[in-house]
Amino acid sequence: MNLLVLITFLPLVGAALLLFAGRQAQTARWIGLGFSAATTVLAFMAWNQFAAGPQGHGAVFGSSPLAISVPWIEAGKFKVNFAMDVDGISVFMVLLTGILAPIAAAAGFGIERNPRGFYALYLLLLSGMYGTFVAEDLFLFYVFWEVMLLPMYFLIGIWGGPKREFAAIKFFLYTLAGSVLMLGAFLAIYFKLGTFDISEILVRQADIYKGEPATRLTLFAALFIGFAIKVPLFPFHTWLPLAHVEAPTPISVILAGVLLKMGGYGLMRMAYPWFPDAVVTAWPWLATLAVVSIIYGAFVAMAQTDWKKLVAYSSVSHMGYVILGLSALTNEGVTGAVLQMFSHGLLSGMMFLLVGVMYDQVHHREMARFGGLASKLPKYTFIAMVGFFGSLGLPGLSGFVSEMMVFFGAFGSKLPDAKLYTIIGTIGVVMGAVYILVMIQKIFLGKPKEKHEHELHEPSVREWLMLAPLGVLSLVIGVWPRVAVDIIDPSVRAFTALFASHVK
Amino acid sequence: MSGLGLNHFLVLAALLFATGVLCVTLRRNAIGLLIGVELMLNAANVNLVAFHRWHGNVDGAVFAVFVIMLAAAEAAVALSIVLHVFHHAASISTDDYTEMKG
Amino acid sequence: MTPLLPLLAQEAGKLSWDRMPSPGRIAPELFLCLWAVVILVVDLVRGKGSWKHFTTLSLVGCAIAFALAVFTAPGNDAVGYGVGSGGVGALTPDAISRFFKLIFLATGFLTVLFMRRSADAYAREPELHVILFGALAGACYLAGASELIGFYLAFEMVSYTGFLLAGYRVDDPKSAEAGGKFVMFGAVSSAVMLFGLSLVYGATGSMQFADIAKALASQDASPALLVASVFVFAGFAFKAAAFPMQFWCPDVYEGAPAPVAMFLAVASKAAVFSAAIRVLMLGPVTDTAPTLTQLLPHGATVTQTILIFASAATMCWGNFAALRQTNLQRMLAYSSIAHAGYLLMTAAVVVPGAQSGRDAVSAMLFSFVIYLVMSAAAFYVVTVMRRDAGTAEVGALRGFAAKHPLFAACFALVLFSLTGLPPTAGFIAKLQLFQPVVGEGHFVLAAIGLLNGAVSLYFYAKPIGLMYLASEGPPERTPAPNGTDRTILAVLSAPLLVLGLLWWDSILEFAQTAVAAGRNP
Repeated sequence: MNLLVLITFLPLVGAALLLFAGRQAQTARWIGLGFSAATTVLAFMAWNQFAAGPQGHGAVFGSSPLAISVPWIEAGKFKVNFAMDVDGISVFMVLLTGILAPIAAAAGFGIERNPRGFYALYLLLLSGMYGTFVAEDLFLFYVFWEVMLLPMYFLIGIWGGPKREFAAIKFFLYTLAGSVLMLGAFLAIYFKLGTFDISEILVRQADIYKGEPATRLTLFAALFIGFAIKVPLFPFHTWLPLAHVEAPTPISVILAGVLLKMGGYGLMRMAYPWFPDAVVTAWPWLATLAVVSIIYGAFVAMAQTDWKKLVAYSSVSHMGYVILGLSALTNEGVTGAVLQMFSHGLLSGMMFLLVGVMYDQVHHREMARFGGLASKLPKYTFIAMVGFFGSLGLPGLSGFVSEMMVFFGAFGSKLPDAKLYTIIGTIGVVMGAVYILVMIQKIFLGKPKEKHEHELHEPSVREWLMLAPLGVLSLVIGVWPRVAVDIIDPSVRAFTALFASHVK
Repeated sequence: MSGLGLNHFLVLAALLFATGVLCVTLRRNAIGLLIGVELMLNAANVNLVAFHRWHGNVDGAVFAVFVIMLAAAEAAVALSIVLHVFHHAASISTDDYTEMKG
Repeated sequence: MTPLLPLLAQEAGKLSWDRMPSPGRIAPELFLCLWAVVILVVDLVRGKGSWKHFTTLSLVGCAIAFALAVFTAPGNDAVGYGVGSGGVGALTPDAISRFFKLIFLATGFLTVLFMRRSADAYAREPELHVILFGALAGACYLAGASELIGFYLAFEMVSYTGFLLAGYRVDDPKSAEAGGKFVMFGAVSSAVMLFGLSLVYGATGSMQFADIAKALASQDASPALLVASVFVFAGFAFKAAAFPMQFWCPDVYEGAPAPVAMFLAVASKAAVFSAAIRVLMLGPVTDTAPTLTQLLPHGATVTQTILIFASAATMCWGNFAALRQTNLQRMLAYSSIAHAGYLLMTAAVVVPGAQSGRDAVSAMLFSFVIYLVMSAAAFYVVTVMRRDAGTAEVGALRGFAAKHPLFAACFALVLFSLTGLPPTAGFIAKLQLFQPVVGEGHFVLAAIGLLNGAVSLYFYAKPIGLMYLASEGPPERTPAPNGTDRTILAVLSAPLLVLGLLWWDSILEFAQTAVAAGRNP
């Protein structure tokens, strides 16, 4: 059984199992956690198998040892294959998903209402996420992409906070609008090239409306907007704060940790490689939007009083780095972007968990009402510092490495005005420090502000088991990034090579 | 028959059709509307018969006969339905048919 | 200018027994007419008015007609008696018309089934079933019509029976008004269309679609022909509930009983498109197939323009007007308008004769099958709602999912399919409809269509949100589906998920073979 197929469909088996065996709340939770953890093991196995393969060989999507392709639909000229594969970047994302899956599942142990439905939808979501990262056929990719939307709608809408219904429908509508734009572009490409195979399209990308730069730019814009909504990039980000705040903690973790990375992944896999000329033409826009995202996200984060919303806006800001690094089209920049995706997945997952731990105890998220937690909960403060300082970009943790590489890459880019954009972007680092430090000061330092109903207690064993691995992994990447960079490097180089002829 | 060519009939048909359209649009009366429809159908009939003579094949005439029959059937169906609406709304003014809105 | 009587005498001279067409090729239509008579006779024999087994009789009739349609071999020759310039009333039951007939008959079967499940006293009246069979016969005829008289006759047959079906609940003021609005709109539209057809006859001298096409291809555009094309399109737009003639649709669908609304939404619309395919799309002039785009010289551009604008306006109107709706049946009416818009969009971008034309037509045929399943399931939920809760207001579904998880899940699946989300069959249907549009380069139209699909999520998700996310409402205002209802809905909605993943290519290939075998080799 092909490993990729197994990873993708095992959660579905779990979801089906839940429908029959999950009546008891505890059984449902453990089935959910069990299947998530099983996918973690498989994800690590996939990473190892890929790493063990010949490096250059694995660089091209579609030819790694893990690939699989079987005919699926055939109606006249309309042919779709069930094709899955990974390259350096996607296997890295699969690993991220594998790491976060059981952690978010464990965070869901606190869900009281209908845990069976919750975990069934969660496993369905997992399936969709894995499938999106490994799909090698556009049709399959699109199906998995949309399959992610339905569970999210229900997960936010049923188990979320006070404004959950509005958040759920807004999330759904925004993402669907982006998806249909993507679909339009996919259809145009399919019509021109006659194939849905992603690696084949990559080889033949120059033939897509060859000689019609305006059309190519339009298609690129459609794809870009569709993915940018997911990233989320300013000005397409407005669904995010609401969705994050209203979603229950495990869903916030998965949303920030994995779902946002879909946007970046889609850009790297499809939008950029297929229209390199359009990327170079659109560079001023891309860079501007990225920089605005960084700065705007940070500014708005500074103004927040709701802790979770602050973290949500910090996501907007951090994902701006991804787009900046990616659009710079240099090896360091793209590597930085990929690392930033991974690091942000770990760290924002950690941050949402930290907020969730506190919320579970005091049932509010207003920063002004906290205070002096450092003196009351030293261990919690310790792990929180790891998470928040990592997000700030403290050297030693993964955020620093990725941000540095993004800036080096963007600064060294040959695209026009790259240095200027980079310098403006670094302001975001300063602002990031501001809002994180102010937040830490408000919550952890100083004297305790109010008497809470129950005595606050340190994180439980379960919560430590969720938070610690994320911190450790962030530390590992922070001090020894080669662990990851060595694997993703060939794919990154293959990516940047596509643009060599277009970047003058 | 001198001086009476195809164009005269076509103009007659057009005038009848226009009258029918006016009847339909300007009256707020269900029965009046059906009268307008009859006018329009017969305008088409005039067209058909005129063209039948002009082309020299029998199709137009056959079609006209069918249309007369259809107009009768339509009148029967329409009037029976309008009768029921009248039964409920107690009015044949279309302004009063407002059970459903939006 | 030959006078009439000698002409008639000449035609009469051509009549003879040898030229009688063989009835085998039009077996479904003949059977449907026959069955209507059978029902009437049964009613006469029984003497009393209503009888609960009329529905069974209708179901049997539909099933037999379906079987006949399956086993009647299609062919590309006309079946007609040959009076006049080619055969007044001739029809050509080819593979495409057979495909449509299967759709009509399946819809008829489901309509009768729903009427039975709706516990409606009127379903026991024999007249209703006679009218329904008349509608089916007219629709089947329309699918195969290949000349103007037969086309208009069949068109009107479907219309009149539609009026009667919409208004048949005579003690319900809403139903009566629905019938009234329908008939008023419909009468005017058909008169307008007839005028247009008369002008077409005048310009070409023939009733046969093929001859019309040939004749007009060699003519210059004239104001009369432009007027004719607009008028004929108006007639089509009325039946298909497309802009600018769709205003009757919400009121009629809301007032009519739910099974009738479904019949109108699927069968009536499919009938009109089956005729439109003949008239608008098939084959270049050298074929024996008809095309209205050649009814206007340089007409491909004019008709295409009309269709493009009409489809964009229809899609937007249908989707945006639906956003405000709280009555589920009315919302489904707007959704039906929007679907007509998507179909028109695919029709608009076809260049007749080219392979892309064939692909677009097969996509439309395929989407009708999916649309039939989706509409049937959606309207069945409305039928159950109206039966139990007395209303089709969406609020009656509050918290429904807690008590009836399977029913709610099936309905949610149907709604997601209507939106066009993977992995449902609705997505596949939309995909196939959009493909030719994008392929021909009509990006703006495709973008409008796609974004409309995204917007439509908002109102399709409303019932889902109420079912799952809201708390329960009072029990007397909540639908109470029983085991049979659940089974029916499950049977109708399961294909939407299964077909969305696995075997839809077979259906599409069936449609493609039908189009390929149809009247242009």
